[in-house]
Amino acid sequence: MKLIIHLHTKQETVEKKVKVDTTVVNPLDEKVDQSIYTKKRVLFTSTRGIGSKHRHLMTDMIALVPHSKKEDKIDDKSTLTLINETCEMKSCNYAVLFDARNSKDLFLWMVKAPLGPSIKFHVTNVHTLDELQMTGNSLKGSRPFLHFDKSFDSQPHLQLTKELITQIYSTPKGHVKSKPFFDHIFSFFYQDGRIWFRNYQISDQEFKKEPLLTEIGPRMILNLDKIFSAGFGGHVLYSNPSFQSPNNTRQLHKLAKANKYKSRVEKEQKSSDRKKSAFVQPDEVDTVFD
Amino acid sequence: MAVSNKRSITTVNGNKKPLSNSPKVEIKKPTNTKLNNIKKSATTQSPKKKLKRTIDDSGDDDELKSQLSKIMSGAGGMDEDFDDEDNDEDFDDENDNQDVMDFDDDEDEEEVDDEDEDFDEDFDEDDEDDEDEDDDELDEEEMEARGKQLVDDEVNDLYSEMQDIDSEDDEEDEEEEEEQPIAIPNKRLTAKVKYTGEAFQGFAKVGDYESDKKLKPIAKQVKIAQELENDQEIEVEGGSDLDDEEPEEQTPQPKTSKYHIYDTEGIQQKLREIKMEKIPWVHTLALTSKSKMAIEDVHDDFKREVAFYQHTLQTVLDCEKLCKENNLLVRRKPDYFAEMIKSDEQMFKIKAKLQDDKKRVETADLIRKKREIKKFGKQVQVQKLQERQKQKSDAIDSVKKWRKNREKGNVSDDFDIDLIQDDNKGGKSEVGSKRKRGEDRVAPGQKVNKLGLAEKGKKRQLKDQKYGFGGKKRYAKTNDSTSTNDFSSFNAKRNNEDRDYSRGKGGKSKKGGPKARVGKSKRTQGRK
Repeated sequence: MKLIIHLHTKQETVEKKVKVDTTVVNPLDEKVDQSIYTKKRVLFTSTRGIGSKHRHLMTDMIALVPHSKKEDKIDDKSTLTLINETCEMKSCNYAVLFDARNSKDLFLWMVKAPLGPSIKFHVTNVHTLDELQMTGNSLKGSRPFLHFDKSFDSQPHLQLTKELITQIYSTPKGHVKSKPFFDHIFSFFYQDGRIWFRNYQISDQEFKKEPLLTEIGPRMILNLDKIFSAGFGGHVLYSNPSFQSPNNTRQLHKLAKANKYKSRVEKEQKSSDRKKSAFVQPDEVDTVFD
Repeated sequence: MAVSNKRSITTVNGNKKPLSNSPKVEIKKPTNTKLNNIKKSATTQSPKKKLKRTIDDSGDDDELKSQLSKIMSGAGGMDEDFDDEDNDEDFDDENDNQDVMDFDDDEDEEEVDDEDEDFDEDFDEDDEDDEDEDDDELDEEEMEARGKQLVDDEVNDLYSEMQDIDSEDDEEDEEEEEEQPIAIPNKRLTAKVKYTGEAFQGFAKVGDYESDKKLKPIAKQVKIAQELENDQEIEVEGGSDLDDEEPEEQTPQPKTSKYHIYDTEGIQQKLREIKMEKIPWVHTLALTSKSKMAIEDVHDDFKREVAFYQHTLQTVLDCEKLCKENNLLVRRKPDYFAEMIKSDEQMFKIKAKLQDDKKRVETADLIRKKREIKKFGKQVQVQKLQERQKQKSDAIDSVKKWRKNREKGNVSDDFDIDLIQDDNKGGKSEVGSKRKRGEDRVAPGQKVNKLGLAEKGKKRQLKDQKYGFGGKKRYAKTNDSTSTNDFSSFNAKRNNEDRDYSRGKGGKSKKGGPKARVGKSKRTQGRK
């Protein structure tokens, strides 16, 4: 069966090649069109007070995205809109901000620079390239394939997220720092109401047709918080109803702990009350014959 | 009078305001909040004291009345009141700040308030004591005042109230206080009641004001609910054909909205703005999978990762196909070396770690095996013993065979090893390699029994037969039912009681007693 399928695919590719040749030629003729896609830069910055792990994550991302530009840390968190201006100065049309809160929580902003939209994620379960668990490796600057889950097409806000992610993470063809081979793939999955990010190396397998994937890293989970209309601001287009701020979760956790004691005390009180109520007063009739 | 700075201010305020704005009884109504307590103490204590002071000075009722009327009108009278207005404003500012504060902080404040309440209650008790003293003095004054007509109605009212208060026992007062339902402390509200006159605008009673305030948050909730409904309406309208930008402008979202926002129209509008139409795949390299992911449990790491892998693999295949279609190189040439994402150092570390892991697994396996062997060590020992036993028996058999052969006539001086070896072909072990313990005692020519030990001689065998060999020695000679009834060995003749033992032992019994010894001649005759 496999052989037959293989043959089929071969035939198809041969057929398509003829078609593709025409399509490929056309864009080459119109070189002006191509520049739209190739002129793309992403500004990577972080706010002051970012933790080491998150900083490493940022450097990894910068290494993985050849069309990136690193900016200094931002002092003032209250005026994030100024990043739009820095983007303009650095001739970047996208920005990714690693917004650290309380030196332990990380929020990731993905922004199309001046006019928006901007998407704010809460980042959890971070694993960086420095960890030894993930054994894959890839060329620096090779262009990644992008894989998206089917569920990204289901809802408008996910469509928007998908679009922005593709625009930010896809390296344009013929970028100066890019390499002409494909050896890794970024995959985004929408599961459990969150976006899971994985980066796999693609390598050939001996005696097998299908390639072998080994994870390179980094890993992270993006929890969508809000979508804003403009760059680092504007009004809210979407707010995730299931999103809970990390402060809130911590608070709840503490509360649960506190309630543990409270409930125990209540239980004790209840049981003592029950015991008291269960006690039957000795009846006079019982002692009549004694 | 002034315990602290703050306290002095409050007393003065209490003095001025309640008198000017509302009947005394209303304000005297005790509430649980700190400020109310202070207020109460102020209303009960301070004016009377002042009154008393004035009376002491003048000793005239008219003056007292005039004082009261002045106080009531709130004009002139006491300059102190107006001097302290600045302080009032300060307090207002504080209250305003509290209003601005986050909701999170309110809890803490309330806690603090609770503590303060206890503190204030103590103070109240003290105040009440003072009050009692004042009341006693006032009683007399009042009795005097009763006889005279009072011009000012308000003054009269005040007097009558004072009368009421005095007529009541102090205990009753306390009881009343206890009976009062505990009002929920609302600091902000009470604070306003305390320090600003604004709070009373349009309200006849403090109670009304309070009740109205309580209603307000509910109204706010209703408002939010309405807004939510509006949002939903917008969502519904999103399906219909509306101008894109209109909903965005019409519904400006509040900055800190705790509820869910989903402006589909706006999102789609943005999507249309940023989407680059007809972008060739070559530039994005992005693919959306056609199959939906089915993960049973996202939190099961292994299953999830496998699902991710499979899903990604499918896309990789598709991507490579597309690459070929677009005349793009997929695999890099083997001689193409370039900088990698992970440095060589890092990769060495990873390799070392992998090897280390492998080693660790192996050693763990070994240790586990050893532990299992230890566990079944006894069984193994028993098996070994049995094996040894088998070897022995085999050896003996082989010897027997050899003997038989020899008896038949195949005489050979030297031990026929071939025979043994033939026998041992059935068995696993070889004889001769190791001599066993029993075999050491067997002499070269000696016969050997089944156990491989030297056979007993004939004498020994007979003796064993006679005396017994081995076995249980105890109770071997005790009687049992058969032996006791067995009289086979019993000789009745021998055991006759009538037997004359003097005649010797058995034999022929001779009658007539023993024979007399014959003479020598006869004895010698008989010999010849």
